Amino acid sequence: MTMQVEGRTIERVLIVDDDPRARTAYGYSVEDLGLEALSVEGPVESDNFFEELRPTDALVCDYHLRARNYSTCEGDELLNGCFKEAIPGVLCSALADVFGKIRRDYLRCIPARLASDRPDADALVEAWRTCILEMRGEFEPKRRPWRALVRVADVEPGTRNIYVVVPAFHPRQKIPLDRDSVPDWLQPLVSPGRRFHAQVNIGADCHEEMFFDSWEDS
Amino acid sequence: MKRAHLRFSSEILRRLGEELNPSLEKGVLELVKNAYDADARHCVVELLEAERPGGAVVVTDDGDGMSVDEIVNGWLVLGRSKKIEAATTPLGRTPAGSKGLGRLAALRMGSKALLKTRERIGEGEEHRLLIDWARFDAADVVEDVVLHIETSQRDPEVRNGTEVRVDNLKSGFGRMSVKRLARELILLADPFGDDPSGFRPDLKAEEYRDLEALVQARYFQDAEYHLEAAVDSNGLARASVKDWKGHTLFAACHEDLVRARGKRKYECPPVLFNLWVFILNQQTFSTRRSSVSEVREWLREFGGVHFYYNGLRVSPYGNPGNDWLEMNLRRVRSPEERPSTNTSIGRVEVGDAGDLLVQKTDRSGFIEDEVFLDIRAFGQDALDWMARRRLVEAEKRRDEERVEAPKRSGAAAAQVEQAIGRAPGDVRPNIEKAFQRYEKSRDREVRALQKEVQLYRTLSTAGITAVTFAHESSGSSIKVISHSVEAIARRAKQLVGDSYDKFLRGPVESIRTAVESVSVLGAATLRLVNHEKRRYARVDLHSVIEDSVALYGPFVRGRDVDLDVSLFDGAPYLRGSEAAIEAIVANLLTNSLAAFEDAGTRKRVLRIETSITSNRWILRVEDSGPGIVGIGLDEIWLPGRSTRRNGTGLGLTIVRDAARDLGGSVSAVAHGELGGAVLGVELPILGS
Repeated sequence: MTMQVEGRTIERVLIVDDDPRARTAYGYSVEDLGLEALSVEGPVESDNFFEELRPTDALVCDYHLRARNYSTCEGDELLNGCFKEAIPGVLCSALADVFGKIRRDYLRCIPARLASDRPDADALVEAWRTCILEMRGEFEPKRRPWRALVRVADVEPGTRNIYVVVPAFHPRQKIPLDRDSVPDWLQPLVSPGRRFHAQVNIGADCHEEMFFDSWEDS
Repeated sequence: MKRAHLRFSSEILRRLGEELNPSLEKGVLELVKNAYDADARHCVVELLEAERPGGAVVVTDDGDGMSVDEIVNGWLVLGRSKKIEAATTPLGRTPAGSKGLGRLAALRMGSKALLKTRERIGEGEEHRLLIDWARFDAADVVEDVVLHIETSQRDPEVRNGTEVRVDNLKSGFGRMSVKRLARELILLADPFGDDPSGFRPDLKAEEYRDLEALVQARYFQDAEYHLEAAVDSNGLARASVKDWKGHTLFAACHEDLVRARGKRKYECPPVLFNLWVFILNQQTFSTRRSSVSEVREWLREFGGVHFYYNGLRVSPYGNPGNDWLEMNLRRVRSPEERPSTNTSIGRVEVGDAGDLLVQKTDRSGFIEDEVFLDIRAFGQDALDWMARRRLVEAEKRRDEERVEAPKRSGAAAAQVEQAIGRAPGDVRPNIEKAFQRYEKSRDREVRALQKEVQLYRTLSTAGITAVTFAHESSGSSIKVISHSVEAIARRAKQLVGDSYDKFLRGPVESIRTAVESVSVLGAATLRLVNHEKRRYARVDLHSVIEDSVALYGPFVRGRDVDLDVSLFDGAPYLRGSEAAIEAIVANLLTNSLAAFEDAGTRKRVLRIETSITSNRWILRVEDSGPGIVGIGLDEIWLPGRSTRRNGTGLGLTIVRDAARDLGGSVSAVAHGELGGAVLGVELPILGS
C-alpha cells in the first residue's frame, strides 16, 4: 500500500536502529500504516547510505546507533543527510533528553523528533509531513531560520563547549554549542567577543531547540 | 561664487573633550602622555589646593618643548594623531597619539589653561599661550576666538621642556581620585620592567610616595611560578614556566598552547606575556625573604595583568576589578592550580608599530576587534596550558604522597617509640599504653576514611555504569516495549473490536504505566550527569524543584506515595549550579522513599514546602514515615551513618555539603506534623 503525505507518495520506509528488537517494534507502527517497513541490518555508512538503499520514501531512525558497532555515525548525522536528499525522516529515542545532544548544525535538517512516550503511528506521519513542508520552505514560526548576529560569549576551557549569545533571541542568554557543530573554517576564529552571522530560528521556544546554520564571518 | 567653510560651534569643544574623558585623573594622564611623546625623562604633576574646586594642576616635563609652529600646527590641532607624523621619537618611543582629544579634556578641567614651552634645540626662547575657555563659551563658533602666542627670552637657568597649568578647576581631586592617579602614574611606564624606557612620572602627593615605595619592593623573586609566553611576528606562540629558583619546569610549543582552541596562528603583533604566580601561605613563605602579608598588600595594589602598549600602560586592563583574561572566572570553574588576580601579577607587552590595535576614543581600553581578541585568546591559552601542566604535576605529587605518607608515618612512630624508650622507667609503661591507644584510635579513623573513600568510588562507578549503559539497560528495552504494546493495542482494537476495552485495555494500561516508571531511571541518570547543570549560573530554585518532581513523579507514584508540593508564590534564585540543587532535592526525596520502604509505612505522604525569610530560601521535606529514630539528629548528616541495612549513609551528607557550598545550612526534626522526619535546607538567595 501507499500513503499520500503533502503530495508525496510514501511506500517504502527504512528503519534504522542498532537494536534488532527495536527495528521490529518500529516496524509494527509502519506496517499498521499500511506501509512497507525495511529493516536496515547494518553496518551503516553515512557516506553511501542512501545510494545503497534506494528507492526510499521515508525514514525512521534512532539517535543512538554507534554503541553496538552498527553505524559509523549517530542518527542525527544520518537524518541531516536524509533531509538533504529530500527524504522525510523522523529521529526517535527512548530518552527524550538525548535530543539535547543533537548537533546544532544538524538540527536545521531535523524538524521532527519522536520520544518513545509517543509511539503513535500517526505521530510518524505528522513528523514526515513537517519534514516535507520544511523542504518546501514552509516553516512553523518557531522553526523559521533568520539571518542573525551570533556573538561568542565564552569558550569553556578543557571542554568542547562554546557559548554564544544571539541578541535577536535573547540579549544575554548564553547558548551552548558543541565546537563540532560549527564549520571547520570558523573554528580557529572562535574566541570570546567574536561576532558572526548565521541562519538561526530565533523564534524557538527555548534555546535547546535552536539551530545554527550557514555561518558567515561578520 | 561665494567661498564657504565648515565651522564648529564652541559647544563641540565640550562634547569632544569633557564628554569623552570624564574623569580628572584621566585628563592629567593625557598630559603626562604628551610629555612621554615629547621624549621627556621626568614629568612632575603638582596638585595645588586641588582637593576642592578652584584649585590648579601643573604638569611640567623636561622634554623637547615646542616651537611656535609646532604649537600652532600640532598642539592646537584636534583630531590629528602624532603617529602620523613620526613612527618613533628620537628616544625610540612610539607616540601615544591621542589625537589631541585627551589633551583638550585635560585643558578644560579648569576655566583657564596656560602653556609654557621651551625648545631643547632653539634660540633660548619661551613661548606662552593662555587659553581662556570663557571666551570660547561666549563665542558662536570656535574660529571666532583668536589665541595669542607670546615669545620671550627664557631665563638661562630654566631648562627645556613644557609646563601646562590648568587653573580654577571645576571639580576637586578627592582622596580616592588622587590615589587612582598615583597608581596610574606609577604603573604608566612599566615600573616592573628592567628598562622602563627612562620615563619617570612623579606626583607631588603623599599617596604617591607610599605607592612608589610599595611598587619598588618588587617581590617577583618570591613568586612560586613565573610564566613567560610570547607570540612572534609569524603568529606562533611559545611558553615556559619557571619555579622560584628560575629553573624551567615546563615548556610549550605553539601546538601545545592552541590545542584546546583548535586554532592555527594568532593574528596579532608580537606579544610578550609575563605572569608571576604566588602561593600565599605561611608554609611557602617560610623560606622566602619577604612575608606573606607584605606580598599580599603589594598584590592588592598592583595585582592582575597589566597591558603595556608601545611602552605605556593602557587602562583599565589590570585595574582593580578588571579581569580581562577572566582569571578569576576560570578559577571559580576549575579552582585547582589556577591563579587569580589576587595571587598574581603580570604584564602583557605589545609593540605595535603597524597600529593594528586601536584605542577607544574615550581611552577606556582597546576596541575589541579581532587583533585584540587574539591577544586575549593568547593570554588565556597560556594560562590554560599552565593550569593543565600544573594539574598533571599536582596529580603526580598526590601519587607520591600516597606512597610516602605511610613511610613517613612509620618513621614518625619509630621516633616516638625511641623517645618513649628514653623516658624514665616509672612513667614509661603509662606513656607506652597511651601511645598504643592513640595508634589504635588513629588506625580506626584511617580505616573509616578508607571505607568512606571506597564507598564514594563504588557509588561513582555505579553512576558511571548506569550512565554508560542507560541506552542499553533502559532505553532500548523501553522503546521495544512501548512500540510493541502500542501495536498490540492498535491491532487488538481492529481484531476484537469492543471486547478490547473489556479484556485487554487493563493489561495494556498496566504495561504503559510500568514503562513510564522504568523510563525514569534512564532519564534521571542522564539528567544528573548533564554537564550544563554543573556550570555556575543563575538557578531558579522552584523550576529545579518542579523539574525534579516531574522527573521522579512516576517513581513516587509507583510507590503509592501521595506527593504534596507547596511552593510559595515567587521565583527565588541564587548563583550556583543546578546540579547542587537537584542533588539536594533528589536525595531528600529518595531518603523519604527509603524510609517508607524500610518501615513498611502504609499511608505514605511526602510534602515538599518552600518559604522565604529575609533573603533566605527555606526548603522543607516532610514525610509520614517512621521519623528519625535510633540515631542522633546531628548524626544523620554524617557520612556513612545510616539506620537502614543497605543504606549508604551518603545521601544526607551530600545534601549538607551541597547546602554548605551554597552558603546555606541544614536542619532536622525527628517527628513533624505528618509523623515522620522533617528535613530542612536553608539557602541565601539573590532575589525572588
